[in-house]
Amino acid sequence: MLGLGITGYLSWERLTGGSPACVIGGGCATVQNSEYAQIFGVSLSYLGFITYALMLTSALIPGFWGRLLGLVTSVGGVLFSLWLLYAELFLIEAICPWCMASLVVMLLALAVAVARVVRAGDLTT
Amino acid sequence: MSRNGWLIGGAVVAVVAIVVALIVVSVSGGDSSSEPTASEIRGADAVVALTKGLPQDGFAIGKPGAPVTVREFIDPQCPVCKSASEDIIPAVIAGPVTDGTARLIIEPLTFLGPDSSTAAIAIAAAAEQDRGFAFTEILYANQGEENKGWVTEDLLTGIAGSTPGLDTAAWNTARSGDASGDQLFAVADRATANGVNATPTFIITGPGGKEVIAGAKDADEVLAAIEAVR
Repeated sequence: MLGLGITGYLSWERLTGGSPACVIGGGCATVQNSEYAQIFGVSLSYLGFITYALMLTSALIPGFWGRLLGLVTSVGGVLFSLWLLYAELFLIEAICPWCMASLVVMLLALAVAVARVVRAGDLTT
Repeated sequence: MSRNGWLIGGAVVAVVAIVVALIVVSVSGGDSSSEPTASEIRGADAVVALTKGLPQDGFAIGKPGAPVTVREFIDPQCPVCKSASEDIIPAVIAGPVTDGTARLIIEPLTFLGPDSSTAAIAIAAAAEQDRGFAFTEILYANQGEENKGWVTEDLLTGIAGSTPGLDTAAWNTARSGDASGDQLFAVADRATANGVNATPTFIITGPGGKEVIAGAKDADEVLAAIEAVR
């Protein structure tokens, strides 16, 4: 839900014309407007929102397929988030606090997804 | 390993491969941008049309005695300022600046990086010949990727050569003088005094008071503020 909130906010900002300022000491507008924050022209904030929605859906699906969906979406989400972190640090040279918060949430979601799979014994039984 | 284990392993490997492929293909496909050379300066004709017949003074454009003053704090590298240059400034010039209600003053800040400082010095040098506004608008039309060295000598010289009424040799000399830097220090002081912490920030003053718009979304917001203080 937290991830949905973060990416929902960023998606809304983008839909309504983007963050309307370059903030001194910040970087959200810079990061959001960067080519690195898009995959084939689709903003990572939209992709993040879809990913979080799928994670939420996976939590509602009982059994193996729910756990698999949760794991796959969180792995993909973490990879995209790590890519964006790398781009922020070394390519864009601006940090977006909202994107960092999303990375933390993604990592937590991955930990939960792995725990679900391990606890259910999917890897051994 | 169990059947479920193999399924999980396969799905994770597949998603990693897909994500990496998407990132690699997207980035390599999007690396086609190139900075314009001196002979490829964009936007000069539009700025000539925009400024035609309007008095320019330092960083300002518009009638010196206009009742409303619009100060736009910018960073030359700020992409949102480029959007404002395209979507807001033409409406302000065509409306209240042209009819004598407002005078627009560009206030260049340099917080986004080294390219910002190089570009702002060039703007300040142009302002010494009363072409700060025109130079800024042409610069935005040619804005490149942030802190990637897009503010080249070739680009700046090309913009100077495309700025109507600018003596390029005098502009070049002014860039290395103290006056340009002093002007930028004065802008930074005004930004601090007004609590400016983002660009573009419009500070609009007139007989009816003062309006501050940090990150204007569209021209209507700025035009309404001008109307409110006139």
